[in-house]
Amino acid sequence: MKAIEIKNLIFTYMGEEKPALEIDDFYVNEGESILLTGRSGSGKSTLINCINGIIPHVISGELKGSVRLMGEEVREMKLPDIARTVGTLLQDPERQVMNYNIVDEIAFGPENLKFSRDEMERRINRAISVVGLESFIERETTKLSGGELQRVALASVIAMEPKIMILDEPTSNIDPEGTEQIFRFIQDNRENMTQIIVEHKVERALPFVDRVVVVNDGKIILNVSKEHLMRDVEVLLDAGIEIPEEYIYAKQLGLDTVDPEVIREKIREKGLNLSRRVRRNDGETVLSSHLDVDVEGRKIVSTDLNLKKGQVYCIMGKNGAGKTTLIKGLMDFLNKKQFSVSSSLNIEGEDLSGKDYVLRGRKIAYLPQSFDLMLVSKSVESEVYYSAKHRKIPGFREIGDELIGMFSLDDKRMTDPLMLSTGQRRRVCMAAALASSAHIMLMDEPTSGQDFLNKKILGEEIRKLCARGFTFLIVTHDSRFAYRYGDYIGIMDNGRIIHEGEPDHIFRFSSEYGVIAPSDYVLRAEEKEVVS
Amino acid sequence: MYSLLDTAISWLLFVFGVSIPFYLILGAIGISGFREITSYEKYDTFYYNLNASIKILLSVVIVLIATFAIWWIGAIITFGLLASYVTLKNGWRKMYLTGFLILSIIIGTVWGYAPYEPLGIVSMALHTPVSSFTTVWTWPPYFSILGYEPHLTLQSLYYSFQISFRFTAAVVASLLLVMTNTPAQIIKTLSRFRIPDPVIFSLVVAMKTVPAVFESFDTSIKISLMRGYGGNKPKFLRPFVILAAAVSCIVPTIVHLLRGAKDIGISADTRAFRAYPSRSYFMQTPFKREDYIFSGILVIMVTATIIAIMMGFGRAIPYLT
Amino acid sequence: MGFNGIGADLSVPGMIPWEIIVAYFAIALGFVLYYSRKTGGLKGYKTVDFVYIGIGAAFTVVWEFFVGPLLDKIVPPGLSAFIGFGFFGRIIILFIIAGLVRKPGVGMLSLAIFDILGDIFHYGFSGEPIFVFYEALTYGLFIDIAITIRRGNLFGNFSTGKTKNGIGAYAQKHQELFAAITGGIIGFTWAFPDPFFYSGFFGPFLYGSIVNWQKILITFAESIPGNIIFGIIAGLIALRVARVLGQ
Repeated sequence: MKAIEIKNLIFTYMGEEKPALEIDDFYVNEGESILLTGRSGSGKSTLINCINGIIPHVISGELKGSVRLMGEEVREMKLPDIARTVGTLLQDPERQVMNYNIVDEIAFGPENLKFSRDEMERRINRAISVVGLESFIERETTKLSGGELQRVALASVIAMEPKIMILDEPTSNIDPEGTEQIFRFIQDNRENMTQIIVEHKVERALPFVDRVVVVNDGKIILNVSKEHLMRDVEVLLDAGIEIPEEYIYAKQLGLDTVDPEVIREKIREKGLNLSRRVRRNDGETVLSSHLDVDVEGRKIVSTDLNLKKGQVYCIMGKNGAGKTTLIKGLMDFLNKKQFSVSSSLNIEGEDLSGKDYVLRGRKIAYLPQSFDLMLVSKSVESEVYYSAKHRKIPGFREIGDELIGMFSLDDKRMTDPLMLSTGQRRRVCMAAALASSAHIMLMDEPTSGQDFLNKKILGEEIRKLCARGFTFLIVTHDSRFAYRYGDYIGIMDNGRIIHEGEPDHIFRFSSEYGVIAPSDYVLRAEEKEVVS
Repeated sequence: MYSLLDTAISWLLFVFGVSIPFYLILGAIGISGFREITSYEKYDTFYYNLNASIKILLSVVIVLIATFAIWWIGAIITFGLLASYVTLKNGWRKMYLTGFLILSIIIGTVWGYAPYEPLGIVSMALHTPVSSFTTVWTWPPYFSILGYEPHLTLQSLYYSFQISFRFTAAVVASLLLVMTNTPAQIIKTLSRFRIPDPVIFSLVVAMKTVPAVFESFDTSIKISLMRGYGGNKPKFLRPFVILAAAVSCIVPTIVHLLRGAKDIGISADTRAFRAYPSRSYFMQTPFKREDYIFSGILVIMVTATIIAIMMGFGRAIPYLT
Repeated sequence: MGFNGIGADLSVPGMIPWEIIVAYFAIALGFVLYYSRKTGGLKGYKTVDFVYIGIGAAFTVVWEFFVGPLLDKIVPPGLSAFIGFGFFGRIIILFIIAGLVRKPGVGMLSLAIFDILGDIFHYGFSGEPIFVFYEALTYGLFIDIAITIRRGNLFGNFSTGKTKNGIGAYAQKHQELFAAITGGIIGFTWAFPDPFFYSGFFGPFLYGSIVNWQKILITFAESIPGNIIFGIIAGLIALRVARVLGQ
């Protein structure tokens, strides 16, 4: 039986002229697992919203054609009935978990359906056991890590016992450990339900699906079984989808495997030379610091950190290792009532040890994960001028204009920054942060939730700025990003940077600390560096 | 004739009244400090085991008592309840933070009421003729434009001090509710009063959002200052700079929070929210021994207050609002 | 002694006769019920509307109870009727939410939820449910009347007027002018409840406070300019946020 059947579907959002989605014929068989991929804004979300009934029941627009779930027309079903058939796990667990209590969150759906208490108990217990929440079921949802919270969100969907499960970029906002657990669930439940996994990282989801569907510009441009994906690698590349390098080399070398180690050997045999970025770690020391952070007498961070001019230093490690605390501690953003902080900080020869965030802000720019929070002005231009203008720096216009040009924002100069796309807003924030005349920038998870193209643009901008003498400290879970654009990696564990060095050195053993080496590294690794 | 020095002191007093509560809160607590006394933390002492409905009842009873009984009963309740904060998780710290909040309310209320209180009203309240009032300060005549009485009397200060305990008792009791019950528990209690489910849902979202508002707002304001807002103004003006920055941070903060609204909506809709006109609740909150004990205490408190009022310890006079 | 802190004193000299208050609330409730039936009431709401309302209420609570009072301390007390930052924050945030939801009832619902939250955080359910009804059927109702009159286009030509050509026939400046005027008018109406309803009736009713008509009229007159100015600002901000969030 077909779990999902779409025919002649055209959907146009209210107020738009161009359809956001046009699909002639598409189906998913019962029990099948599909990888749905495409760039941000390609139409993936519109497609899944057509399947889970959000379109047309919640989001208005012009809908033509037919979407059927288990033979029933979505348009004619009521949303709660669709919810019994289709479960949807969204990208950001923070935005879907509503209750403080884990059990309340899992019970939300069954409570809405007014099941008997026994039935609710059965469903809740099953969801807890399927996702493995037993060890922290008593904790409050506000105290969970991103990965744990996403598992709670998953359990709350499982409690609905849907026949079809949509996982919309379920791992893009969580750490590698949480990612691993979500994929383990997907693997274990392939037999029980039809799955649609929406994911930017093709290679991550590929082992768990039968078919790959690529959406671009509102249309399905590729719909192939995963075994045949290799021959269409160019289609994915053209659509701006992140393809691991080994796929490209596998195709180039005519191999029928994507195992990076096998491909590496073939590359060596053929004498191909893979490009290696020159790491810049020879600049003068521009930041040297030591930070101690205690909470209720327990040391959560105690580490040294030094940055060299022009360097991109990536901090990696498991959730709870103290990465964000380190960055906030350096900025003096930690709440002193909650945290006991002592730090020594020297930047470009100036001792800022006892200084607060206002004074440190003159030397360090900071971009939090929720970067939107810094957009206080009504135009891009005034946002970028803001810092230098408030500091009464002569020539603030010139400084701002240069940054506007550098971040390709000239045509958006008078636009309300809040109206821009996520990628553009991030660029405005970077330009605005650097306009403070700081030459060191701290960034917390700048790649979180961003697609391949946006990450590439970000990485290239960072490299350009490094060439001009700027230094970056970046907290990230994204190993590939760190390998491609980083100069130095610090592995953080239990509040300390316990290993640091160039990416090629660190990725030899980083998996011991929850940091999985990217295949880019594996392809380039020397014999002695081969990772397990 | 009003001397220059007196004028200067008057303005200093004016500024003192204006600034102290403000400095107390920002200096001692900070915006994130508020978050600590408005957030639930798991723990296992008496208050945490009490049913939320009992604590709502406590708030109601305490306001009732503070409104109708003589001021010092409100004061005793305020400090008595505050002392019981030590049994909470991080109790001393919560007591300290709330203590500052209470102090700021007292000072704020005294300075907010005393200069305006018509002496006739104060006289009636304190059963003291105006002629025996002690003038502690005489304002410049033009202060009447601000609505000030010509003289600030000890009795006005005292009367305003009394009034403040009508507010403080309620604050201490209601914070207790929020710190020891999850929003879900409070809201489930409210759902018993037949409030429509969508309203309950909005409340769940609101309760979950309050700590996020503090956190996002705090970050937004700090980044503004870090980026140079307030220029090179001296540090003692920092609180004013922070507040001015707060105004400009409303839009980015609310937009940041609202951007996630669609996902919350989808998350609820795809879990059959509003499938029926009402919904059921899995977690039950039956009454326990502690609840019956505390109900008894409340009954005793109400009875004692009624007796006190009958004995003449009732509210002396309606206060001006 | 009354129920739940309600003194039920109806004989304070000078207070507005209870018959007038009851008549007002009866008419207001009638209006609400009539339009609820016409627009489908809460059934016409999407879940995201309730989310917007919840987030708005949370922000209003933080602003009005924690940030606003700090700002108000900067204002000379004699000018507090002119400038009330706590209250102005409420205007801005609730206008933003009303501008996003744009369905009759959003004003009343927002005020009711804000009130209940305020009870949980600050007031301890004293005087309820009187305050919920009072605020919802005054401040909230005024917003809802504006939405009803404007058929949903509260601060700009969004939603029903949104065409395939984008925002619609109004130029951006016209929209802003419209938002400012609407905001100013609603801001003006918000000057009424506190002096007349609260000081003139609920204050004495709940707490037996003294009714001083001179003070009521002065407070009313003093609050008009600030309310209009902040109403205008709030209307413009609401329009901006609605645009940003693509409503």
